[in-house]
Amino acid sequence: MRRCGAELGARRWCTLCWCNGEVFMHKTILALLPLLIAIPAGAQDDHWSLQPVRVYRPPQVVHTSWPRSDLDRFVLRRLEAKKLQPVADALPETLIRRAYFNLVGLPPTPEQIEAFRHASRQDADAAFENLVDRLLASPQFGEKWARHWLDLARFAESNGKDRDVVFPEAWRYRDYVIDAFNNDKPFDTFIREQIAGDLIPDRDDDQLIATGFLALGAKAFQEVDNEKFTLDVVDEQIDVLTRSILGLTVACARCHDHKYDPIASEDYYALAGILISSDLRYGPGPLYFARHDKDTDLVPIGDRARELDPAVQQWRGEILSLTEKVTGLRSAAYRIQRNIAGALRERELEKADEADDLAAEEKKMLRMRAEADAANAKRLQMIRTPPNERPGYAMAVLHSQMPPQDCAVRFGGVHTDRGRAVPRGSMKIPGMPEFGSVAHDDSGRRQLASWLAAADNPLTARVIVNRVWHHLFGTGLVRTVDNFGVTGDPPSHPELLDHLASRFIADGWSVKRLIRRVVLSRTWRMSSAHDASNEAIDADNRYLWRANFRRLDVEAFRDSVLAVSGSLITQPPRGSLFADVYAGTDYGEPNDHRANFDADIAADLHRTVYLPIARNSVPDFLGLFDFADPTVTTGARNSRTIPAQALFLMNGPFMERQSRLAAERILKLPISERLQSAWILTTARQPSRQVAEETERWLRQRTQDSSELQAWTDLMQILFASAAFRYIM
Amino acid sequence: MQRRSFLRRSTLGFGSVALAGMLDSAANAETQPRFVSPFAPKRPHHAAKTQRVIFLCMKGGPSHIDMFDYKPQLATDDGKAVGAQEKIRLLGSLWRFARHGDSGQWVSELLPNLANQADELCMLCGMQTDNPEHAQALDFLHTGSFQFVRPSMGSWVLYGLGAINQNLPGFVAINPPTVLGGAKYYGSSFLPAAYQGTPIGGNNKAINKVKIRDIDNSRLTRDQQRSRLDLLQSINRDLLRQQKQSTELEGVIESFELGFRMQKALPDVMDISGESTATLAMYGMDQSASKNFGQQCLLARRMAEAGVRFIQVTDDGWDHHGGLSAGLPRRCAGIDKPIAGLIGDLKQRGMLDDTLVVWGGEFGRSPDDGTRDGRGHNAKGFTMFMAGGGVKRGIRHGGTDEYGRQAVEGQVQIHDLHATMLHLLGLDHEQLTYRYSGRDFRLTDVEGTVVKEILA
Repeated sequence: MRRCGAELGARRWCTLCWCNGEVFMHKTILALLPLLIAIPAGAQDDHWSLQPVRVYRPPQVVHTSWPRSDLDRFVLRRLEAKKLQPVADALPETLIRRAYFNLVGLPPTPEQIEAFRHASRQDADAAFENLVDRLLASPQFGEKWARHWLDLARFAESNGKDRDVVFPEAWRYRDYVIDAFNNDKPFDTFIREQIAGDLIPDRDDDQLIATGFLALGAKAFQEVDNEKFTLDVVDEQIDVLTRSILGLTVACARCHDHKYDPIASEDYYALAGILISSDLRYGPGPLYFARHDKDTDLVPIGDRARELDPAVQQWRGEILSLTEKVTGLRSAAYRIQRNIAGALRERELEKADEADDLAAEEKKMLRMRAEADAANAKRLQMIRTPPNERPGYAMAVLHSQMPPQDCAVRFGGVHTDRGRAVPRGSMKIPGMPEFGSVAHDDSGRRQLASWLAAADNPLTARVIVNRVWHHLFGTGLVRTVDNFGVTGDPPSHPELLDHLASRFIADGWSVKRLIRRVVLSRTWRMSSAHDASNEAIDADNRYLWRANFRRLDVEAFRDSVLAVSGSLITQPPRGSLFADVYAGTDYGEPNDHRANFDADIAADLHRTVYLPIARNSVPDFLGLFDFADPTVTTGARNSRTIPAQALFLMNGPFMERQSRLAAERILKLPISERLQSAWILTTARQPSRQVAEETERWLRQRTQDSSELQAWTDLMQILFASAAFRYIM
Repeated sequence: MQRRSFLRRSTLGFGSVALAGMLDSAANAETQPRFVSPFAPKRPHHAAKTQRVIFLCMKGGPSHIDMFDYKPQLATDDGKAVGAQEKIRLLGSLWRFARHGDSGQWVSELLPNLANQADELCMLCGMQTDNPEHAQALDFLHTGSFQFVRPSMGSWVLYGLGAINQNLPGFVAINPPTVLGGAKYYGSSFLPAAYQGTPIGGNNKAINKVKIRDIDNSRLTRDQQRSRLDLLQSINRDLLRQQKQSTELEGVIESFELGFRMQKALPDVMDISGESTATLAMYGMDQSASKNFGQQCLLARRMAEAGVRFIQVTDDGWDHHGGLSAGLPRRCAGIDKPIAGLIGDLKQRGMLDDTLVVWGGEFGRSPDDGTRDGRGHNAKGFTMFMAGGGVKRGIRHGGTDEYGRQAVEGQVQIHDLHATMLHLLGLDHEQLTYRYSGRDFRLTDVEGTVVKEILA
């Protein structure tokens, strides 16, 4: 608690208890609160993550022959201090599979495995370096690594919440992120563009699309209070951007000063002022739910945007006014119907006023209904005939058409309970860089972007480096990847984290070079073998004495099944299923079309990152294998093991279909090669002798009561279900 | 039947299927000491009064003043304008109320069958919620929060107690709504996702046409499936041998066995073809009005019996702004026999003692409205009821003002309802916490008081 004291009213203390996790304070304790106000100010100002990133010299180690890089020295130093022995290096076939899944999210082909094994026999280091560079340069790299950022950006193509309105243009942001990772866009630029790309002089369309990051959130469209709606939207933006970029939970401070981290309510509203001073262009969609007091229209893009947009606007305007007419007539008719019903009932109860002319009322109601139906028919006709030439549209943020304004503190987060207005950008979080001044006619969003992406921001580089580590090792050096605050986990290797962060900045914020540095280390190339004496000291492998045994994420799992069966389309699709199917139709929510929607997704053979994600209708199999909730920012996904997954793997029609296709592929091979090929395709290795013999016996028995194709379909399904396929060793 | 009831008594009220599930997991526990299933039974904080919950959610907001909360003054003042607006007039209930049973509980003529169970009901007539909008109030009722996405109460219960039967899901949502964020009502939010509810059906789809995803394999015989599973497990165990040790892999191997067992157990639970005509009639399945909800209630009883910990059944269509005179009787006819049947059936099977039935909607309805045939939302006073496991029978707790507009005594907030429910399950709502994003969360936030007055 940095700033406390008399200015806090009793009310704020009540809400403080609300967010207090350690001790839930009871009403009785409230009486004692004045005593608690004396908590020493500045208690958390020396928290590790808010100290400047330091440059550490790689430490001395005993086993000087083990390290291949500085990174290894930091790791080995800890291992030696803890009396832990690094296990042996991984075998080439294990390593190539691990590298493929970690860098491109796809399995290596048998030919690639063979070539790598061959090259490794000549020069293992050179072979691996070549492999890594090739994978980093492949377009599949961006498709794999973009997905991690999309989890943080809670990317989805529909709104979710109370109205799951489709965002038909959201896919452009997805493609922007994929391109950014493929082009190794410097991470600081990547952040700047997402916060304020629209304000870059001579910006291109991509930089505008980048700001979709702020526009994509789930909104409560049914909220009737415009001010509360705006503040809720800002709250969502603050939560996503602070947790994903800074690893801090600032959103608590909407209602009260942060209990643990040095973030005051004023800091929150200083940030909120910046965000409410910009216009959010989230659409949504051309036809549906155009509401709330601000201009939320999507921004036309492309060379001919200005020229083509007016026709679309006119078309849309006509549809909207027809929509209004239809709803107006229908609800008026409904009101009349209700009154008639009420009057009839009163008549039954003999209380009615005989003067009511019900027949006339009924006629009026029917006339209104007919008129509404006619208007609706016209409306549907219009929807089906959009202008031939339309520009693209971006979900984005734009400089506000209204003058920028500071945001007043809201006590307890209650939007009507206003306190003092806090100057935009006046955050006073210790250790953070200078914000820069905000002119009265400026929102401050440009400065916010620079503040977040500053080299002397102690959090941004550390947080992303730790995220990359998390994805490459399965856990972060800081395990709470979204929480670098006081309640988060301290780093297992603080010097290593700073070493990587400082090198990352020195390398021009290059994510590819960071990944390359980590992956080429000896630490990353260890096997996942068990070791009893290490296990006794460090069962969690916190100090990295081996590689972690990890489940494939759902994208890699599905993509691999499709790749092995030969069905995967590696070319990216154009746009999105939503843009194609739902745009320009009178769509409701994806759930209204659930059967079609599910069928469309089942038939789609592109990489999983390209499947359309509707927040309230996330495809079942994605959820089953722990896809990130697309409504909230997610740095670390779950890895559940539940029986429903077993049912999907053993009985699901998708698995059976793909297994059959894979079996057909295998059956084209000479008999002597089949078993081995099936194994290498799915696991990159040969089966053990014992398993090979058992499998052959099983196949012989199975072909006695069914066809060869059937037996092989079953076997491929077993392999797809096996841990050897679904896990990375 | 006799053997079954013997088993139930000798195993703290678990059904026979449950016993089989427990023995299986005990055997596995011996050979695989390290993997702990997230569903493994956990010790409650204190002695539990109830083992399981059946929550009957009437989505839309049922009219308490036409069903349970008798307001003679409202009938007297029918048609009287309230406040400045001439159009807003009081609307007396259209239905006759009478006292029922030894307890003399007031129940309206809309619910003749449920009235026969009046002595089992623990009426909460002073219910209050925080928000009169559907989406928010439904979130609040199911998750204890209307601002944020939070775990649903069934997830909390499963997290706190584990599953009773390891062959079945521990939390089932029957006919969950798919709009207004329906998945949240059985979602686990930040709790481990294993604790989320298993949805069965939805959108008022006829429940007998509903199937659990991938639960059967029509292509292969059970033996063929077992042989396929055997080979798979050999491959998995081979990998486990190479890795020497892996909790993760042990979990994988276990989950395939569990899935295989569930594949057999769950369809058995869902298959009601063995139920007698008398039982079907008891649940109102012989009448078209109550057939579907009756089947859902029967399914709920079968699941409770087989050891599902938390069963949530949703009935949609209680938002009677208009057409009250025709719509409310229709909805009541839909649920009257099924719920009466459920309570009676649980009682006759000796299960009502350790099964808590909870009935209610996200709020109640107002005594006045612009139309003469409908009622608005009312968050300030409404009725819910409980029956069974650990609550007093045939009592009425709390009450509203003379028009049923506002709770004036024995007020029970949603957080109190949750606290009481957890208490009956043996959980202290202040101790049932989960650490997420740097702080401990509870179903009841920082509120909630156990309603001691209704505890048996």
